[in-house]
Amino acid sequence: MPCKTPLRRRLRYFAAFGKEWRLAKLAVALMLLHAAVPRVFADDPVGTNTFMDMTFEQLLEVKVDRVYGASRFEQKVSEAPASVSIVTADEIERFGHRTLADVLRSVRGLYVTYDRNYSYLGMRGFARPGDYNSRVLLLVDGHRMNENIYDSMYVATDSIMDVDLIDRVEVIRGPSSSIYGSSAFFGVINVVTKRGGQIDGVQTSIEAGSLGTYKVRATLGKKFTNDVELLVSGSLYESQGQDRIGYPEFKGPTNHFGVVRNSDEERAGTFMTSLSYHDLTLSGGFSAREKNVPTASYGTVVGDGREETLDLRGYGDLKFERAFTDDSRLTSRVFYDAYRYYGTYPYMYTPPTVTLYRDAALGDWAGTEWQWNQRVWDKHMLVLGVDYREDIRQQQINYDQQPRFSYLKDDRQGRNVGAFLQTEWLLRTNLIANVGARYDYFQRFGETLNPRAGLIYSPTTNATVKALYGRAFRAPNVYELHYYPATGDLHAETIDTYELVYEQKLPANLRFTTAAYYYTVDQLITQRALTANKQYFVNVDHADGTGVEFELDGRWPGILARVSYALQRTEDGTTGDELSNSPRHLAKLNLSVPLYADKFFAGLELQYNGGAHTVSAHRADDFVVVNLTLFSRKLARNLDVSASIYNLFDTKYGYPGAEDHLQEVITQDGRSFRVKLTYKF
Amino acid sequence: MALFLPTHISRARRALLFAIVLCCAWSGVAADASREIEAQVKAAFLPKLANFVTWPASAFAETNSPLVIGILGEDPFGPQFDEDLKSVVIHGRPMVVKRLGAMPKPGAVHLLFVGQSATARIGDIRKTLGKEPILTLGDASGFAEAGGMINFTKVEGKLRFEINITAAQASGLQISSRLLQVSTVVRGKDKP
Repeated sequence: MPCKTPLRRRLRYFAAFGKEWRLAKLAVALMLLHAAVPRVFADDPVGTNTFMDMTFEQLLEVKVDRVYGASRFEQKVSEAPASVSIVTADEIERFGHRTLADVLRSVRGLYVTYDRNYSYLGMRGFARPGDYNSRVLLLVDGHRMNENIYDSMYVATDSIMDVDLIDRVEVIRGPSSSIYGSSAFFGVINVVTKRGGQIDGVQTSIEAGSLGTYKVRATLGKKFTNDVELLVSGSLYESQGQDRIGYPEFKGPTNHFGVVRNSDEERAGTFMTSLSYHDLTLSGGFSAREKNVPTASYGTVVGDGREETLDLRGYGDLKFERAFTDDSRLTSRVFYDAYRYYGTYPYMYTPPTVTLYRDAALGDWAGTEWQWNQRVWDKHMLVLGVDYREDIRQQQINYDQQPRFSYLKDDRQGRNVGAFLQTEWLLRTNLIANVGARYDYFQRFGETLNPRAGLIYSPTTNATVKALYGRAFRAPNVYELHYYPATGDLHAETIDTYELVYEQKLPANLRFTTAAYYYTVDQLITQRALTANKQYFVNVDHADGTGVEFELDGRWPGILARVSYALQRTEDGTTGDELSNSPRHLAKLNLSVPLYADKFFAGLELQYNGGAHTVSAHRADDFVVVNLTLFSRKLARNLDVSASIYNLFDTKYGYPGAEDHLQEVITQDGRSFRVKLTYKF
Repeated sequence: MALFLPTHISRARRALLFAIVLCCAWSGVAADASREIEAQVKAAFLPKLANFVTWPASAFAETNSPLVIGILGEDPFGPQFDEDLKSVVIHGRPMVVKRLGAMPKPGAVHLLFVGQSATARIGDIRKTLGKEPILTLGDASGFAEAGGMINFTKVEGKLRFEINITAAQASGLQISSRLLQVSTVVRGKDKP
């Protein structure tokens, strides 16, 4: 693949690293050292099976992870053409994670910011303030969750995914457009949900926490003898939120001196179901979430209390999966998805009259996916697939309510066809080549081809080295194309990523992972101001990023430990500055230890986010947040209890705001708690 | 750090490339077949599973006859498995491994591990074995439903078992409740 960055610019870019670059070199040195050491001892005791000496109970706790999302078939994490992290239901319970956002915050190299309305996922130092998670693809059991107006996906209380229904979360870093098409830009999050048989009965849970937060959930799950498996689950969530927030950026009596009261309320509900019979699985989900926005974003009236957003998301998915022989398998699905967004924004055009401005987006889409997996002579795995998607409705509307004045009523339709071929080729017993590409045609802007190639090499049984290249794209969405008056065509933005991953199993059940990457984003779709009040989107920007990540994780009976550090540096191609909301350092620690037998666990979580530039090039300070969870499994018969304190040391911290915020930094919650009871009938 | 990589950037990148090439070159000398954790854990489970199963005395020629594990289909465990089993004694019996090219004769094995590639033959296996006290252990979804006795499954990334208890009882095998506690009991599609 031709690299579009001139070499000279890239050199200057690397030179700009200064002190951090030395750390990066240390990383590479460590990688080489680690690759060399086990070779020296390779003939020694690596072959003996250390699991032989474990007890039955200890063996039950050993994790033998597999990942689906990296290649659209189940494979060993070490063989996936990406650096993969997996978080299981067990960890989610032990660390008291409330939402998918909490889960992702504990994962190496990921960060999630919150602007008191939505949560935004950052990966590899990239999270543009004002962008709605359009550059990471979220899948729930293989079903695409990013909607068809803003390409957004939801990870917090706004998510369709109830955290209690998660069996495991696969975080697949790097580009995956070669199999998934648009939005698999920086990575893919594949959530695998629990099946009915895993619940095996009726499960209910009740949660209560600080800021008047309550949640109830009921789940019914069963695997029947006639091969029918059923899961039905629903949850309701409510939070009063902060009753008083001070924003000193807003001054004067008309702005209530920056004091906002009772404007942080939130209500949400989710419903999810799956029913499977033999090769067929019918699943569906629905979520609704209403959030009061206290930040007076988009220049609304401070302290008015009526700024709010309502987001609804639903889908139905029928999947057919049949293995015809041991070597061939057909997977297909048909789906229907819907998305609705209604926003209310109070404006004071002519004081003292407050006018409610309504903003809405309505999306409906349906499609089908067909995929054939074929193993050839035990050495090749071929995955061949075709995806088709029809955007039935892509509607954006906004108007002033009283007096009625319509600004925008935009109605679109579109379609996308994609075909991909991915091959996994066992070159030697310890060397895998992974090559694939996907062709996509969008009615709106034309075609794009995105390849991915990787070499996965195991110098010893305990070590894996992956050298990977991939190209990914994100199609311009209708929001970018049509929300503002058209000023020209937009085309897809692209990213080229090069990475080197090294995974080493160490003695005593420890595992060491390190990854180094370099990416360059071209034709980045960026919002620009035409005049003071007129905005538009244009393919102008260029950005680079590079980073190294380290992770050490260990599992022993009852104990799990994980520590990671990510060093990342991004650069705006035009100005040469670091991108906003791009913390240079991320360090994490997760430790769970049994306090009493297999019943009581203490889970400690420590997250360090380095400082980051805000939109106007100020700084958001670095911070450490510590969360502590005490968890008891089967405290009494069928009763699980968990008690958590989040932000244990009451750290004052905040995340960079977007262009639509007057606040440089959006202040986050201080210390809070949650108690959760789960009972199984 | 300068010891590992030159400070000049372009040379550092060249060194990185060189390192990749070097890693790939090593592949020629690395000998060990890849034995992944999953296969190792399954291997370690095998004697423990045997310990939870009671065979009728008639299944063994003598009181100290070995407990024979037969492997049908591909062998995920490798030759190291034989070595690892040398120090293992179950029900007062040593364990030995036989890799089978064809269907085992009744009485030749006590535990039959059916590799993934042989799963489709479970119907034949049941027909051949009849009610012989041979514990069948599988490694593919649907194995227990199709009449296999114990099957490896995965729950939350950890190994668990599906047990077709009627199939085991029909062959005169008793499965300990301790194993059943951590397993899913499945019912076969038809009677054995």
